[in-house]
Amino acid sequence: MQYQELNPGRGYLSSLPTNLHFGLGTARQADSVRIIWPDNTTQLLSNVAANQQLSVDYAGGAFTPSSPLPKSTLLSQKKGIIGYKHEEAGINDFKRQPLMLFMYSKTGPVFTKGDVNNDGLEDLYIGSDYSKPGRIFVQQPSGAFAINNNTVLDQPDGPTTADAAFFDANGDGFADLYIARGGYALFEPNTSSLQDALYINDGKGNLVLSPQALPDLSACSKSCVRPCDVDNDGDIDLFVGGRVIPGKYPVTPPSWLLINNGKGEFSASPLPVKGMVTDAQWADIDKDGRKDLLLCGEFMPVTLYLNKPDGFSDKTSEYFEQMPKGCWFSLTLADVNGDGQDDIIAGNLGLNTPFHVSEKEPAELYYADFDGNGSVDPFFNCYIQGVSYPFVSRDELNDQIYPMRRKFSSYRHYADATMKDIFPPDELAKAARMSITDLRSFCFVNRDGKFSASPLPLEAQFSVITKTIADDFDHDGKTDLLLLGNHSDNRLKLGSIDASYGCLLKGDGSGNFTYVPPAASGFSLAGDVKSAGELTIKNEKHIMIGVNNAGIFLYKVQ
Amino acid sequence: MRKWFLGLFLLCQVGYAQQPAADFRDHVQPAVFALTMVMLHDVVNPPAASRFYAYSLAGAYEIVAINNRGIARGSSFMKSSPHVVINAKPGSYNYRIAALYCILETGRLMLPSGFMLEEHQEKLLKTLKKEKVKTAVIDSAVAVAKAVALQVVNWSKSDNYGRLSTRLRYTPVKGEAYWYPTPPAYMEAVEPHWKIIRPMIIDTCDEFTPLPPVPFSRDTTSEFYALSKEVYAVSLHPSQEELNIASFWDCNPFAVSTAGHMAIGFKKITPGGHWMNIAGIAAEKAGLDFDRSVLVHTLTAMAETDAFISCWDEKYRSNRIRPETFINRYIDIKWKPLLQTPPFPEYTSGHSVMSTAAARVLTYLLGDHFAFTDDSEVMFEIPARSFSSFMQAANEAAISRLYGGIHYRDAIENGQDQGKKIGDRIVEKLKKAGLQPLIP
Repeated sequence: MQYQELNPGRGYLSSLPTNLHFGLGTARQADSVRIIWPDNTTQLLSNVAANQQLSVDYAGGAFTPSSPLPKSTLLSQKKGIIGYKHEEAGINDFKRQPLMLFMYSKTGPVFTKGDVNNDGLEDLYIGSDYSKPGRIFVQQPSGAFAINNNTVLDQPDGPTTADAAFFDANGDGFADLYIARGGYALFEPNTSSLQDALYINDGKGNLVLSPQALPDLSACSKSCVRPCDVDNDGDIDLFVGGRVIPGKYPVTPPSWLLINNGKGEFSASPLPVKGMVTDAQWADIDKDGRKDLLLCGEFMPVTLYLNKPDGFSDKTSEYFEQMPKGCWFSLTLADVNGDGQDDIIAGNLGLNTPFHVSEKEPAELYYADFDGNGSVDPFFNCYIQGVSYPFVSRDELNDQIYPMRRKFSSYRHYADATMKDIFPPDELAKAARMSITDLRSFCFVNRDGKFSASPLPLEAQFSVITKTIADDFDHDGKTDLLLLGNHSDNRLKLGSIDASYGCLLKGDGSGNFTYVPPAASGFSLAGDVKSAGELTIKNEKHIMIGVNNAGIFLYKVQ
Repeated sequence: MRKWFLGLFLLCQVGYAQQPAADFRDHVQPAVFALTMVMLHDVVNPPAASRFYAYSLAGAYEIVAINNRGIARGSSFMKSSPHVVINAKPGSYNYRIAALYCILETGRLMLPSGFMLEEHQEKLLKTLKKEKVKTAVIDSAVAVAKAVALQVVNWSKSDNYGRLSTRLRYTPVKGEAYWYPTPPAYMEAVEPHWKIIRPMIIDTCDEFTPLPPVPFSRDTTSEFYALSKEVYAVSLHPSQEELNIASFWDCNPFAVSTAGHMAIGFKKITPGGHWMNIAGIAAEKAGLDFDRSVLVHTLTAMAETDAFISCWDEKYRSNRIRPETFINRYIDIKWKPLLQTPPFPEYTSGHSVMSTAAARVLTYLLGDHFAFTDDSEVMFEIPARSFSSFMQAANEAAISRLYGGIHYRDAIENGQDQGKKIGDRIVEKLKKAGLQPLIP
């Protein structure tokens, strides 16, 4: 079967030819030619002879819809409940480090749910943005949300909120709030703008900063905070993932395990985590009654740290038959095959990128202060026709290392240059290296204590997956997945990765998924998804999605 | 946008064709001009060009100073100097050949397309051989030159040039009073962090901060509006002489001309390169010997370098809007300046600061009434102009920016004042170091 799409409109004052050419090889005719028009009606021509130009008119032929439209969709958008608009500051991180692949400033909107006044209704924290402070939105019995004016959690256009979590820090039965600081902008490591904050609930639903509760966590920008009773002592401890050190990408940032003394005071405990962490989850993988740590990040594998009384150790290779290094953005736990065990949905960069990677031809990142001028020089490399070339253009190289103007005095000289041509062996030897061997998003299914990797369907690879919601959306008793993502603020040469409008995958109960088109799912949402979760409003289940520089959107689950 | 580089290579190898005097004095200007041609090829921006001239000449100057007790070592007047050490004893090598070769060798090591100077090096050696200089003499001088050039390059590494790329990239300041990229190429701001470069002779970039610019205003009765109106008015009915002056001192290293989707860059010598030529013309006219010719070239280059550092510090302090942007917004949307607006903030005028600083130093060395004819722009088909003094030339270079429609009058006049102070401080330091005027 051959498939071609025609869309003559392209660019300003330009057009594409309106003829499509199908090569039939030695065949004398095509059995059938099916035309699907923009209004989703189809036209079927059969036994069409080869070697001719076929003119097809929209008005001619008999029309039947390509697929029957569903009577009702699985999800439906609900408007006006929270009515939150998100405003981004519009900072360009590439002014600070031009050779990064992505910007790190844009983390919002961040929200998390919890019941702050113990009335049985789920309330929300929504983080600050460019023009608004962070606030608590208290759910009313009517299903409306009222802002708690006694609690202002962070200032507009101030430090960036990267993640937040409600949990009971001091064991008083009321939800307290941890806010993880992140972003990039002009923040300097080891300054207060990167210090996380713990707010303690006063028992009336107001949150008050507990300034001495946390150790110094300002060395880097964070990505996630995941509460869990790590040591089974009855209080809630925390994992805090380090995302990037502003100004020092891609130097490995620290991540922290914060141990609670039972009174809501935390001390840092060593953790062997290495990498730019984007997400983490707690799950008891080895069934020893202690929750183990799963995490993922840029230029690293999804990694499993088993939690033992004597500490955490990396046991990824023992539990995963195959674990590629990816540019992972999200980890979600769900039981996709109904065996009662946690499976893992791992969101990656996807296949809709200008570079391609494999185990044999990985994308590599070299970094060092090559020219000794005090700035980190990161060089991303990827394979083109069997040779690994630097991703940087000559202009970008010259902008990063001024003396390179001498090394490559023309574009022609630079055209075929590899890392070995740019740097002498001794300088290259001092560079640290990281790699990516797979860009696909995966489902890792736990079968008898070991995880087998299966890539998600092609439609799931169209874009970055930054959030996944697992639920039985079609009520067939099997877990389905709603994949959300996009990442627009990328290096110009990489381009915006924004092909996802949300991707609903129907599960078959054994770990396989099929794509549900938007017409049937009822879900279509453009933009960069930064946060997502399920929220119960008036006893009805909703999906809540935060889109950067747009707002927070609600979908009702039918 | 695709850039089509159109180099105007009218190779004027002035010196080589002539029979050189015994002391190689006629080779100095061609060696410096060889640097100019490489910078023209590389489209080196004005502040960076001045720095390359200064470093390329610094080693030659030290070689001369080590061998001529009448000339003070750089360390006696410079903020930082290369502290050149030559292992060969003075007298055991031909220092003039070494100095000459050192200009080309330093340029070869530092300039982006420095390799292009290899041809000049070979040509120089060939000429010397033709002049019956013995191979052993050439070899020993070249060895000294190479060793000194390496020391200079090493010294240059501490001037913060390599740290420019560690700075936050420039974002135009928000607000109607501030500079914004200008037509037709809307190039990004040139060297926004140049103030971090170590000066050659003056102490700091902000030692000679000019008066603040006339404050921005859209009010038609304001002083600023009057300044803009003056730029506009001058452009409406320029005299032939004003047109000649503007184009003679244009010195835009990369003026972009567009036609539809095509953009062509027209290259010219930078303001600093123009004044290096004037230094060469003056040295020849004054009949300076080799050592003094190197001295005049070197001090001109160092004055230029410091002038650009000081000027660039002010440019990104005030970030002032260019006349083209203001006039297009508030007076005449279709107005274009006679010269193309260079891609950096307006205040103060770089040509004014730099020309005045260089002219003050040249005036000290060669006198107040040094008349000369400047044919530097003939290679760009712009006829030569004659001047009665260096300061007259500098004043003309300064006011040319008003005629060209790229600067307001206060940026010119306060820029001249800034340049005068820089030049005078350099002269003061030279006097202290015992460097006497060359023409008493």
